[in-house]
Amino acid sequence: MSTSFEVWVAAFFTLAIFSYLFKDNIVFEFAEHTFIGFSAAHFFVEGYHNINGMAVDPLKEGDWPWIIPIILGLLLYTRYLPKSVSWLSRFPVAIMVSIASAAQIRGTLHAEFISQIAATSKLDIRQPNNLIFLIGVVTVCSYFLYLKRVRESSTLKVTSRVGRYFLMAAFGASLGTTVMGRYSLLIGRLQFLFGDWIKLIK
Amino acid sequence: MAGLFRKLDKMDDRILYVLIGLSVLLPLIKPMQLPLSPSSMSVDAFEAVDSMPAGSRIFLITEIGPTLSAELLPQLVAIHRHAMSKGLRIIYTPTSPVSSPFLVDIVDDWQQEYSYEYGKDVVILPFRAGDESLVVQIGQNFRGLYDEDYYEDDLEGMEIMQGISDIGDVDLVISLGGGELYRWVVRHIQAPKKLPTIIGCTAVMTTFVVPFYSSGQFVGIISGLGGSADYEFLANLPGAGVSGMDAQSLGHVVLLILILLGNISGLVLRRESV
Repeated sequence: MSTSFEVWVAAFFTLAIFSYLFKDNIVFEFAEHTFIGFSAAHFFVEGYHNINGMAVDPLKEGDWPWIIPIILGLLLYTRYLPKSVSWLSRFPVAIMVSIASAAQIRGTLHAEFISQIAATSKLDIRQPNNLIFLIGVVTVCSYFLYLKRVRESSTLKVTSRVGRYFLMAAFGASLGTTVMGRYSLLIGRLQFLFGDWIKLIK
Repeated sequence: MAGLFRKLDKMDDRILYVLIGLSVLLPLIKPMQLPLSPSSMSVDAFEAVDSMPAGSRIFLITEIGPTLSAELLPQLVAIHRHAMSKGLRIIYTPTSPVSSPFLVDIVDDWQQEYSYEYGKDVVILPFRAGDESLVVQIGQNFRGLYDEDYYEDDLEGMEIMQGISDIGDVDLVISLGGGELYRWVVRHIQAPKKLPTIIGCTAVMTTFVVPFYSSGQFVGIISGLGGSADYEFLANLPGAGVSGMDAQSLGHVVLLILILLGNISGLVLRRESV
């Protein structure tokens, strides 16, 4: 068995969380609250260091433009003040949303839209996999056509139904990989408990 | 028969937890050495790293943390060991404040075995906040963003950073994450710089990442614990990935049996109630 205090603490909290599988209990709640408390404290300290390192320190050295993000950050908290000043919080929110949107649109158009369409158009459909892929792309797109006149056509009824099957297959694959991911988490914890802690796994 | 299914239907959930737990634990204690057949995604990822000449630089960006470590840590260790054994150099970049301790541990743990030098063969950059806007900055103004490493030492004097004025000067990009990181990388690094890029992701994310691999935007994908097992197998560096694969396989077999039993039981009991 491990002689490390850290490993014993981690093993205790792992078992405490697993104990929920038996039933809700006070040990589980203790572990849950400790985790939330630690996380909140950790991110508070990280946030404090970020603000200091990225804005306050440069400002102290005379890099005055850093006053702008500090003011914008403080304005976010005006939403907790009376209505006469709470509207000021909309300015930083608007700036954040617009910058995020600009960054996403710029990158998404080329990397996720044009490149994907270009790659699909270059598929060699003599290969069965590519043909299935192309049918999937077209029929799934047809599933999302909402114009009533188009939607009621007999052709589209067939293609959208096929598209729905492709979507269900994709969701199924996604669920399958989710299960696989959850197993990996369980394996990780068991490797820790029976390897690092009890030393039963070599 | 229906009586048996009625019993199954009313079975305590906790028996299932024990069954699943045992199916994962037993192969960990006594491995069955089931054969591995690496996926093409893993093979491509491995070959992209393996074909690089010694001295090439890898930019590895990651958001690994305690919640992702079960799947991403074996990937990170496998890539680190493979790269160091081939004389490649790695610039580690965390995008989450909880990533840095993992990177420090990996660099320290394997230093003796591969005798690499910090600052010459490997460097850890400090955490910077910003999520997607951080990756935008890395794509546009990499050297302006980082002037010192994790230990607050000046990057200018480090051999590994010589000749890097822009992210386009690295030879390969690897992104290890469990969320949107791969999207940020493809948008702001891979697409504008046309850099060969490998994605390491959690199994859950695989179906979202694969279209970018199919389109040729990513040269390879390391998916979940299975991907790291593939990589370890190809690099002949067995680690946590390979040892977890027997448990994955047996766990899935038990789960499939339970799903089948559940469905048959549901059908039989429904027919009986009609």
